[in-house]
Amino acid sequence: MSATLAHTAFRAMGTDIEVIGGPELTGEDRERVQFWFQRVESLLSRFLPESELSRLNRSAGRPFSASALLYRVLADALDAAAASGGLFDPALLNNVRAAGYDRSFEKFGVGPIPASRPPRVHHAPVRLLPSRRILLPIGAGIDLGGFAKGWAVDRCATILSHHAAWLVNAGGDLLARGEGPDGSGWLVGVEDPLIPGKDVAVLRLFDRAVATSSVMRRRWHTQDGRVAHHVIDPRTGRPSETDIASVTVISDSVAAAEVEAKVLLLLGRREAMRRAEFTGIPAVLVSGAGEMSLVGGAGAYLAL
Amino acid sequence: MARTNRYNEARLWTAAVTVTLLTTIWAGLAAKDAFTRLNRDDGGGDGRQAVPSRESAVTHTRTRGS
Repeated sequence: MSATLAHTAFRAMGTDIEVIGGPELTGEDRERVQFWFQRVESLLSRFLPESELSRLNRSAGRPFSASALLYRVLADALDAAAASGGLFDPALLNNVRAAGYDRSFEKFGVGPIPASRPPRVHHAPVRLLPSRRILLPIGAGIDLGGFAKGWAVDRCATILSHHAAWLVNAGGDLLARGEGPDGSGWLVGVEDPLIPGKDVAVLRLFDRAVATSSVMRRRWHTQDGRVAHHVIDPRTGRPSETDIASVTVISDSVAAAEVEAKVLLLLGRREAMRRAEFTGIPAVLVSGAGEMSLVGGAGAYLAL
Repeated sequence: MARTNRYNEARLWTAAVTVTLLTTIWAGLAAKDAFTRLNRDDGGGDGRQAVPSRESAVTHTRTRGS
C-alpha cells in the first residue's frame, strides 16, 4: 500500500472524527462513514430531545419499542456492564445531569455550572423484553456516551471491509485496520492528559482498537465551588475522585477498550495496575501527578 | 610595600582556588543529577519508561480522553 494518505475530518457525536486511509479510500467511502456517525448520533444522542434515546429516557416505567440499532447498542452495553462488575454503568444519566452535565459540552458557558445532589444509583435493572422492547425502571436514564461512540467505530469495519488498511478515530476512540500505510503499522500518539498537544507515548498498531478515558477533559466548576467532570463512579453516584488522569486501553474492539479504560480509571492507579497485570489487557496509565505506567504488556506496542 | 603585595597576591590565590573548587563541586553535582534523571526516565523501576515524543516520531493520529 502506498504511504500517501487521504485524510477526512468531520464533526459528529460531539467530537472530531477522522477517517484515514490510502488513495484507494474513495470519497464515497468517507461519505458513508460520515453518514453512519450522523445516523448513530441522531438516534443515540442524549442532547437531542427527539432522538430515540431521549424518547426512551422519557418512557421510564413503561415498555418502549426500540429500533434494531438502539436495542443492539443497549444490549451490548448492558452485557459490558454485567462483565465489569458494575463499574461500567450506562444507566447513570441522572447522576451525570445532577453533576451539572445537562447540555452538550459545547454549550457550557464560562461561569460555574449549577449542580444538585446526585440521585441514588441502585435502581432496578434495565430490562430487554421480546420484540425489541425496553423497560427502563422509573428513576433510571440511559447515557450511551462513549460506549456508543466506540460501538459506532467498531461498525466501520463493515462499511470499509473492502479496504485493507484504514483508521477511524472518533475523538480518541479508534480502530486501526491492517498494517498501516506502508506496512509498518499505524503510529498513534497517546496525548499527555496534563499537557495537551504533547504525547506521553507513541503506539505502533496492527489491526487493533484503542480507547482513552480521561477526567481532564469535559471538566467544569460547579456553583458550590467543586470541580466536576463527566466520569461518574457508580459506587458513589458522583464524579470519580480517581488518582488517574487518563487511561488508554488497547483491545480487539473499541467498545471493549472504552469500557475497560473506564473501569481502570475508576479503580485508581494501584488497583488498575493490579487488574491490568491480571487480565493482560494492555493499557497506558497516566496518574494525576503525570507519572506514566505501561501495564498488561503495553510496552510491546511502543513505537521505539 | 613588598609585604602588602605578597598579602594581596595570597588573597587573590585564595579567591581563585575557592572559585575553582566551588565550580568543580557544582559541576559534579549537576552531572550526578542529570545522570540520575536520565536513569529514572529510562525504564526505571517505577514503571515510567523513555518513549519517543510526538516531535521525534511521525504519528498518523492521536488518542486522548474525550
